[in-house]
Amino acid sequence: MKNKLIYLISVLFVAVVCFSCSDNNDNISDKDLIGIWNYSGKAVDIHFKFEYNGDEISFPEGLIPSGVFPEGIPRVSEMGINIAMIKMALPMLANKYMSQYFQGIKFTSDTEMEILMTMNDQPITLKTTYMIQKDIIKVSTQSNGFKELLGTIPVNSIDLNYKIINNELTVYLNTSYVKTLLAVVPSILKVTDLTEEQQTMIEGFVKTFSINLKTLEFGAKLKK
Amino acid sequence: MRIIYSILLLTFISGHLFAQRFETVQTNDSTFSVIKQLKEVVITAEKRELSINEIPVALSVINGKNLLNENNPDLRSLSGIVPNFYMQEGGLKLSTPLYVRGIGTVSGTPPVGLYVDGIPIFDKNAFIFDLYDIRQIEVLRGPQTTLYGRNSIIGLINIRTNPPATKFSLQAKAGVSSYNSQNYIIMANLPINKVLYNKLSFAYNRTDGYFKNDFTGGKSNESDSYDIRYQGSVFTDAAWNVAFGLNYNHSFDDGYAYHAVDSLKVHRYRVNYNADASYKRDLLSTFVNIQKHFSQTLLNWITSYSRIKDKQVLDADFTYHDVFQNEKESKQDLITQEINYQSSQGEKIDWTLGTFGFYKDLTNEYLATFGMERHLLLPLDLDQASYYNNTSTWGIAGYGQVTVKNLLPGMFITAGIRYDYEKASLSYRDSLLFHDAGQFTGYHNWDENHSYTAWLPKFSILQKWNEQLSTYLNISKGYKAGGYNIISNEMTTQVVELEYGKESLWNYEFGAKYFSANGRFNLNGALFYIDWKDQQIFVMEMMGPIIKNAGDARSIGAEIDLSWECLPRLVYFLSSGYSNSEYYHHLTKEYKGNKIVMAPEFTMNTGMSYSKAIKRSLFKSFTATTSVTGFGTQYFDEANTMKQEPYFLWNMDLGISGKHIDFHVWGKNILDKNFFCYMFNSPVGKNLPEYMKSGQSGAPSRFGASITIKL
Repeated sequence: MKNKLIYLISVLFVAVVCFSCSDNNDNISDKDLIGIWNYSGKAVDIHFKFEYNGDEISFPEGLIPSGVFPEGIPRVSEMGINIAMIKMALPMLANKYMSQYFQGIKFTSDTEMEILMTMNDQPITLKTTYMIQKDIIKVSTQSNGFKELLGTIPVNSIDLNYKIINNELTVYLNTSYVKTLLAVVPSILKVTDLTEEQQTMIEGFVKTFSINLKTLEFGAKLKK
Repeated sequence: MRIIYSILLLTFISGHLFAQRFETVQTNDSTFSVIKQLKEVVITAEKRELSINEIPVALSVINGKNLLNENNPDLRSLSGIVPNFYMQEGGLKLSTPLYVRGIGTVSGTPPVGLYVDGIPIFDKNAFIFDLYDIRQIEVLRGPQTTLYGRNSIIGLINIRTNPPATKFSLQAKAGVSSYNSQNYIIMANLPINKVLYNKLSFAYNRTDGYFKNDFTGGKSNESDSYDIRYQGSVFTDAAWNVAFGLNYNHSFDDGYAYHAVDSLKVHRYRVNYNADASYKRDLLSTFVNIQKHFSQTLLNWITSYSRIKDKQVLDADFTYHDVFQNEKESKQDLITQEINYQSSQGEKIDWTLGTFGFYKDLTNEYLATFGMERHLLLPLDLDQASYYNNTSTWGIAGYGQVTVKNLLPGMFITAGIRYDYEKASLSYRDSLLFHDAGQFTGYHNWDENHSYTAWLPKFSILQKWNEQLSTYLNISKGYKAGGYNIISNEMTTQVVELEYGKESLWNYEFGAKYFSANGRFNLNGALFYIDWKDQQIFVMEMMGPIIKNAGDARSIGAEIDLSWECLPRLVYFLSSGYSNSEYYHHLTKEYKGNKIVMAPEFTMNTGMSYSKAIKRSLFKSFTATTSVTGFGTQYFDEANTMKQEPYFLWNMDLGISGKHIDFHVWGKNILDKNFFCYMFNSPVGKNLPEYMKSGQSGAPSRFGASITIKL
């Protein structure tokens, strides 16, 4: 389960990509999108904006398995994270996982794409379809590869906001979408093998986090 | 009980006055035809005045005087009486399913064009209104899109009200019926100086309804409404006809009367939900219709404006659980303009040219509120969801139709074509209030537009073999434009996909119309085959219903409309339609071969009518009718897992009429037949299996009486 979630998060952050070369997304053309967009594997290429009510996010005991957070980062532990530290450390943390699994995205047409990943030290290609509306890319998770990845998790698609500036594509989850995903967590938990106590603990944390979340944009910057 | 006493009292009084006549009625078991097609009836649905056997289309004509089998009939009263015509009885005025020849829709844009005095009514929430002071209703089956365009994909209902009279007159009607139903109508014809003719009408209806909500202890389908109508016409000279009018209608209905099917099988009229449910509607419409007669031609100009405001509140889970409630307000403005120019004196050719345009602006605001037991429905932890949808649509069309008469002796060939263009623009946004959050979070936000175009041809050959018999062959295309759903049910993506596409069909029809030389027998029959593409179907999703293009279907069937005066003044009548309508392609592959939702396999209305002139100071004629209306098997879901077996309803109708007074008693579903008029899969059915199959019981037996005073 943990691995699947990590894969999913990796895909969420990077899974998509695309187009046009200006802030005016209405004028983005397919030609700008099609091609291979690579992830550098550097923390500076993580897109992250975060605003939260309060100075710290507290975790219920047992929610965060030990070893998830790198050791030696002050004010970051399995019990809680200081907001300032999140802003500083999360890009590094995200990059740590993403650079392990995610290589880039290849848009093969205006409806088809391939997510280039590494799993078990083997390169794999996750083929799927996508559509674009305004500044959102909707990536289908109904392809065979995605279904295998997600298992019984009831997510039909993943939305990513995007922008292309100076030949750099930024794809990210926005606040509304993250809040919606968080609101789905209780129903996702029901199809897991977690105990009722664990589910209650996660639900409680997610609800508190969602209520206090003011801004969250989380994604990656890709280059052709 | 008061109703029963009233009916008994009225029956007793009239029985004293006319004991001899009633005795005749009872011993002869006589009746009168609800739909009596007369050879001389003038039909205007073809946008010119024609007789029945000159029109190569299956049609039924209902004289306003034959709409008496209820105190306040509406279009639903035509169900079964017109062959292959079905409108669901029950439900709110917001949305009443309508099917003709197996083609129709549970919700969304109606499949039949509706015109009142030449004025189009576009939307389903304006289709149900009281039919009073009606001169004639013409129901044409099969596509009428060449002349009427949008909506009339499988038929047309053309209603003509009685125009203002040239003499001063007053009329008042009062009626009572079961379930504390009351009905009052007042009409006044007020001519001024033989130049301006005016008519003012007022109608009021109320009923307690027959459903009881166990949760509140109150009635769940009470209803009251009133209607104010002004009609005017100006006389200048014979070359001009100018008519205009204004109508305002207000209605308030409780509802819905839905509950678990298994429970309704035990207690037909008891439901149990915990939140208020109602529908309030205000309709305002006005029009001007100008006709200019030239020596060989006629010019028509019809302008109309209408506004609809409505508000629906409902317990959307239809259970006593605190799951969710919906509140929807809509406001619509519609302007239409039609101009047509046609020949009026052609001996060899009739031609019509016309153009039609409209602009419609519709705003829906929708608020879903989730209760403590929202987990029974939602995968999201939401308190509320708020939706805003504005759709503005404009369209323009041009059409032409020509009939060549007597190309060979008795042969009439008609060809017509229409070009329809429609553009719809959507502005949509919604926002979510997550549980315990202080403010809404914007989620979807999107503007888009789509245009829809279609060429809509028709072709027919009509052969008049003699004055009695005519046969025809008719091929026509039907079309309904696409549009936008009101809300996005898909909360796992921010991409908005509300559009549904256009649908179309081809109708192939062969028919015959026969009037016996002695005027005692009339038979109209038709065979049809319909190929329906990209069908717009109604699907109940998590947050509410949506429309989507689901597949292709075919419908094959036959219709018969017969009246026979078998004995002097005693008429046997039969109106029946059969349609075998099923999907031959469906997005859900396993539904291929399934029957189309809601469309009854057959409709039937048969009975006897008896009418007699009587010589009394107050009364001049007596009529009596008994009829049986039946409907074939209906399926209520795409999977065809919920169905109503065929059922038959017995109705009776007695009336006496004079120059200054009419009296009338009636009964519907006299044997109190139990049936379901609607079933659906509950949105909370997955978590509350006992509600998975929910529905509504059909109307019970009802009896009523009315008296009309005419001065």
